[in-house]
Amino acid sequence: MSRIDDRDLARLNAYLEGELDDGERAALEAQLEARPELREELDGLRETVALFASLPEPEPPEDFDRAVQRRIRRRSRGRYFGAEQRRERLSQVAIPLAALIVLALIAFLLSPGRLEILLEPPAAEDAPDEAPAPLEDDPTPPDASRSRLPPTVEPAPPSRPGPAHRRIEYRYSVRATGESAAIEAELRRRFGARAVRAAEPADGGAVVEVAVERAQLGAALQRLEDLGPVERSRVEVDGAAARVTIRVVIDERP
Amino acid sequence: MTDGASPDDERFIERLRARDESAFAELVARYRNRVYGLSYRMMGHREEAEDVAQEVFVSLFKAIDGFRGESRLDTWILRITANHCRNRIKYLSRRHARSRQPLEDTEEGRLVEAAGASHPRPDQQAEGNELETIIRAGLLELDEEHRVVIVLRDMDHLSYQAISEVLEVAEGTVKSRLFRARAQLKSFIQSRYADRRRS
Repeated sequence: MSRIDDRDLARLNAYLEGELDDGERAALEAQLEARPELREELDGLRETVALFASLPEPEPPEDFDRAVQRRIRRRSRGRYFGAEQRRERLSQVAIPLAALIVLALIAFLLSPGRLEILLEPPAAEDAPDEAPAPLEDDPTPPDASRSRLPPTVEPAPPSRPGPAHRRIEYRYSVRATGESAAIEAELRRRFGARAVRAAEPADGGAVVEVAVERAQLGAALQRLEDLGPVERSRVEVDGAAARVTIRVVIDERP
Repeated sequence: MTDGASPDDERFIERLRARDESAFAELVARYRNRVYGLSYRMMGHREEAEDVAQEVFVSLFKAIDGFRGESRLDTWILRITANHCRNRIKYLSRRHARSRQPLEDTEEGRLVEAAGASHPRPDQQAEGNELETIIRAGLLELDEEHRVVIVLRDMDHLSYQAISEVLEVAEGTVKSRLFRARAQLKSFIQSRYADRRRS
């Protein structure tokens, strides 16, 4: 049996690769018949190539791409691929913070006397004990609003807490100084037809009841604050209809 | 620009040069398997391969301005990968030599030992695993010049010309390295597999 040399190996590989021309291939195939060791070598090489090609392709780990980006970010001192990290950091801080704020806000809004802490304590002259008039969608005519007496809407009797649920009504007062008709007109402009002359307090001026939806309370209070300082708030019974009565005291100056 | 490079390729390379992060993310997605595959076959160790492959992409990011389009983009990437692997192999061999770490304590040593062991570990019982272990060990027995050629040819299916461009050697050198590598690997597999069969 003859030894297989580099020349043989080169020809066998060229044969496997299909690189031999017709004459070279025929010559080699004749040799393969004559030299069993050459045939054995060829079979072994063919099998090796096939085995090697059959190996599963190694796959990088799932987080490979991110790991590369992290490495570049680190090397570039955050100049590249830093946005994701910033987003991650932001989400780590901002989301819990936002959740905390929302929870605090909810807790605040659900507390019965929530706005009392923001407003001045009750002043007797601004807080008549009579029950407020829960206003309906009352399109009080402008002419009626100019007439101080009688109130266009009679105050409703105070609601009482029912056995099934707690009913709360919130009342806020603002002392607005100015000419009565002008203030009323301003209130109507701000609150539409829902501003209704309700009563005349003993110390003069007028009381205007404004009904707003609870969801609009914040905006309504802001409009009140624009008008003058909000002097007090008071919890009254009856709020199940999600209606808030804002009581505006007009301190009329002739 | 590269011969045969499409306008899309040219635009892609321009985006890479502009350090467009989305373009680079796309580059990693396109080439991670080939870069990691070559690294793994060359290093024979997953963690080492992962580290090398990551370093390759960092190098690509830094060196994209140096890509002049004289070769194909994938050829350039594989060249950088092969160079990284070569450098890491040299570094590891120097470190092993300094620490006089016995071969059996190294990854290569463990693979060779596993391939030659009379009693394969339970997780290597399956014939597929056995063969893979033997082939991996056989690859690591080759010197890195022969190893990289057989991996690029028989696993990555690159042409001789592409391999010669990756390795910056003549095609004839590629061919001679390839047939020697195949012959050596064949002998290793046959001897180890025969040992297994006998045991």
